[in-house]
Amino acid sequence: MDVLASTRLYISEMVKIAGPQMKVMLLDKETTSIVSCAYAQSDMMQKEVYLFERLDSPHQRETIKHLKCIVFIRPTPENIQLLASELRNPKYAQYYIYFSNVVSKTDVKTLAEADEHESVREVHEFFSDSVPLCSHLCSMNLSFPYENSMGLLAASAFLRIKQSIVGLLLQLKKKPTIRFVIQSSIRFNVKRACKKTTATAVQCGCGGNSQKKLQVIRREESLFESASSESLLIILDRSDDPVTPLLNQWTYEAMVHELIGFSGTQRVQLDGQSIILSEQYDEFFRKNVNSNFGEIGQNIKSLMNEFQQKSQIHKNLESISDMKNFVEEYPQFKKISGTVTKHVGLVSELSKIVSAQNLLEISEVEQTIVSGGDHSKCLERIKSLLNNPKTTQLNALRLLLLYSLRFETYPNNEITALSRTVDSKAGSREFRATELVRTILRFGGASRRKSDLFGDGSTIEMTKRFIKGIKGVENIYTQHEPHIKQIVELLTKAKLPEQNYGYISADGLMANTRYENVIIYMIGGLTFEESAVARAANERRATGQGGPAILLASNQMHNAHSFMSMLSHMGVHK
Amino acid sequence: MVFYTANLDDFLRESPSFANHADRAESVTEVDAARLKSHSATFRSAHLGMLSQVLNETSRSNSDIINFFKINPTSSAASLLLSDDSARRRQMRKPIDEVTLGTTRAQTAYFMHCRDSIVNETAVITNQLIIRLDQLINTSPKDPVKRKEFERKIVPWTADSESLFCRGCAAKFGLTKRKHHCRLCGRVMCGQCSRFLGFLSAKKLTACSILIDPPKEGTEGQVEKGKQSQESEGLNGGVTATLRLVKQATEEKMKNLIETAIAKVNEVRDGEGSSVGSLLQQLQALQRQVDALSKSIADEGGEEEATVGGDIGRAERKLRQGIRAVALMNLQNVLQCIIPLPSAEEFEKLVAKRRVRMAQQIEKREAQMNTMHNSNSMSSMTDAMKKKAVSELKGSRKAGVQDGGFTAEQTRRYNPFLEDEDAIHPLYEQRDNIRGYLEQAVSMGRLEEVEILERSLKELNEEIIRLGLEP
Repeated sequence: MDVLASTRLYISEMVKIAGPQMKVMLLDKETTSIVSCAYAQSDMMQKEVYLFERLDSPHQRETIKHLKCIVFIRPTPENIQLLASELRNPKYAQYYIYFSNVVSKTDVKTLAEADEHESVREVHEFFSDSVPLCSHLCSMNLSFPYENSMGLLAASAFLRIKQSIVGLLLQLKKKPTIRFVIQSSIRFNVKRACKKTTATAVQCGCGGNSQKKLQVIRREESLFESASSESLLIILDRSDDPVTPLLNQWTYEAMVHELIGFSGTQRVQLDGQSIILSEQYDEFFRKNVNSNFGEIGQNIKSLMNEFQQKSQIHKNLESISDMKNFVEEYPQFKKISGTVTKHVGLVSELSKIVSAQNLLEISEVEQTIVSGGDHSKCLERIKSLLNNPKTTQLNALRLLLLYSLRFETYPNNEITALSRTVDSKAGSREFRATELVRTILRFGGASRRKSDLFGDGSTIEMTKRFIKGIKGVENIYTQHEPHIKQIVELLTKAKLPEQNYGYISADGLMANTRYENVIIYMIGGLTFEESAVARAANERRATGQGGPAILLASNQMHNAHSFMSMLSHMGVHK
Repeated sequence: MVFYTANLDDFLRESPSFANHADRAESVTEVDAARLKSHSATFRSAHLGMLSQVLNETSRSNSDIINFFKINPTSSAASLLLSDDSARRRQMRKPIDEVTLGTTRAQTAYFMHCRDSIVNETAVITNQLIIRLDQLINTSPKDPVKRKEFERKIVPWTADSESLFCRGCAAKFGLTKRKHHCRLCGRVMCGQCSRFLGFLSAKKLTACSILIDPPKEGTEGQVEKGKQSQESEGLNGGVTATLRLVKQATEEKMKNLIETAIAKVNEVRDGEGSSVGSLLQQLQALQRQVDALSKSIADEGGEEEATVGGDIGRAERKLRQGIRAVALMNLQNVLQCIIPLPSAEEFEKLVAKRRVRMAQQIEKREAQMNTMHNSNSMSSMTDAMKKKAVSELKGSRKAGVQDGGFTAEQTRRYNPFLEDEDAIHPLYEQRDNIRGYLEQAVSMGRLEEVEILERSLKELNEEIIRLGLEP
């Protein structure tokens, strides 16, 4: 279940079908990110694809009649219209059209009618409908899927999510058993109410979601013919774990996203320069994706040393053989120097932010809050941090929201008082604390969550925490474990409770069997902390320690800021 | 970047003196070694020259390429190698989770079906029009009255009273705008609009109607348009074709180049390099050609833009730059393949090593022979082995396993006590061996092998007689 490799196969197949000769690739916004994640531009050029154009670009594209054109687009109505007008006035010699998802017969007909010049050679559906960020993670770059603070999906977002799930299953050739979170009573009521009034009723909540999707599977039976059924798709909702996106992160990839932020897929803006962090092409990054901040520092240092040694050698070129060596090692040397500059720049930026915003202390408090700290102690530390001028609004909000989630049901909590303090704090006013607190509690508060996030419910969790207390924690900054980890563990043991997680079986398989492949779809965005969990699980599997292969998919990758924007967006549309 | 470009300059200045150095070395050494050395010296200097040339090129265009690729410098050069590498690693890491191509579904057939029906429709209309045109031009009577009748027979004219506006330009008819009937569709239009098709081009249309693109709709005006666009296409075609040819030539050369390069490296690493010098020169020449060709493609883009005045456009220029970049990248990749070339001393060492290796191999083979002889000294043993082999063979045949071919064992009985007495002539030895093989083959019933062995035995006997070894 490697989405990245599978997408690469798809793309090279597209190019192969188009045959030799110079080619241009015509993409839309979303397929551009798909292709750029799968292949570097230089790789595509090796395949004789020398030009990349956007179908939806406002500029007039030039006519180059000696090029073959590979069209790879999502089958949206807008794209179909654009492509139809392109075919009426073809700019290239031949067209090879690939849709990233199921395309309707009427759309194909529309295109056929527009193809007056008979320039189309092939039309295919290649189910590669989400951006493969790495082998176990894909996203769709779709922000703000929710319509209101009750966690109802917007109609368009629902459609897109449904399509991408279907696409993903077809890409991986899986016909899974589907499991989903059974809604809490409130949402069921909402659902029923909706059902009475509108036709979009089924679209709210996950239950409806998966049922609808199964219909798709039935409808497109022929497509799922070759699919294997011994896998599981579990659909989760961010509202079950609103904590993870709020925490400060300490692994490399997660830190970069949290503190600097990926501006495109795999792309980071730093000092006006665009840096690409790709596991495929950057060995240092691949090795250190999951290393924590301390380890990265050390690894960078050894990288630096290696580099300095090399450059030392290159500095005193005395004999001719030295020079010859230099010339021979030159490409490699240049490669290393590029890596060094990039990562040193990135890590120094990270450490600058960490010390400027007092993140170590803040993170410590965050971890204490989520992993069972005492109320009065937490409150005291939050208060002192809120008074610290180094604490930014974002970090203050993190603490506040975590506090509200954790101590929501605590009788003497000071949520209102704290939110007022945050609101009165000088600084940027992007978010209003009181509103965010209200929204997050409605979205993922105790009454809405089915999950046992803070380990208050079960005795096992209590004893676990007790043992932990005796043993002491190895790293106070990484005590928190995302909710997904529990789910993965339960799935590995085939013990995911049926009263909380409903199921629709594919081939009459029981809900709780041990599945080889597990696809987790998180509606409402994933974090890199969760990605690290999946990565670790897959590595365990690769070394032969068993457990299922995990693939994560979501509509977007969250950091605290994007999560809060999503919340405030939801708050606006009540 | 600064210091290594500086070093590069130094290096380039150094290299002629290096060549002198090599020459001197050549004159001093003995005749036998000199030959060897001259090869290595030529290839070394050739190699260096080539390296420096391309490196020079690279360092100049590096920033351009990086900007153009919009990818980081670490990945651009070695991306190909790396991606292969990572793919391999992934494969190794996940033997259980094999990656196959996902589901695909072809819609081409349905698309073609839809398109064909539309195309047929337009084709029918077009043909109808062309037939009319043909009749009008070629079979129309000379007499004006009869002609009018004839024309009306082909297309019934719409009544004058029904149309108040021109079909073509929607102008109102009046005293100055007279009504004209289109002889192709029979509708009424103004004088200006009625002149959409000259007599000559109409004649051309009827003469070679197959060559014309089917017009899109039934309206006549578009016949003309379609033709125009085709002509302009033809003009572009010239430039296009040359570009394509150039591109193909580049590709071909690239391939040749890489193949030779790889073959050569293998050769040299084996310590064999007899013709390395000349091969490297060829390689160098090829690389230069590729470089020049790709550069000319890129430059052409720039020049044409200057002369035509921006007509060539952004995309075309980008395309050319792309080709150039790929050419450079391939050159770099080739470089990386060739890098582990040994120096002159190392080369000598390699040659020596090879000799040793060969000697070792020979010794080993001899040793093997000896042990084989020893083990075969007991006749009962060989018999047992033979039986075993036969039974095994039968077993495998019964099981239906594929025939594994025939291998005979050494059978000559070797007497360890006779060892020092008289070394047998190799031909005798050979003959004895073959006899042994023959026995085995007969016992196993392998007719083909028996035949071959018998023939070679006969030849061997003849040879022995010819040499006069046996009376």
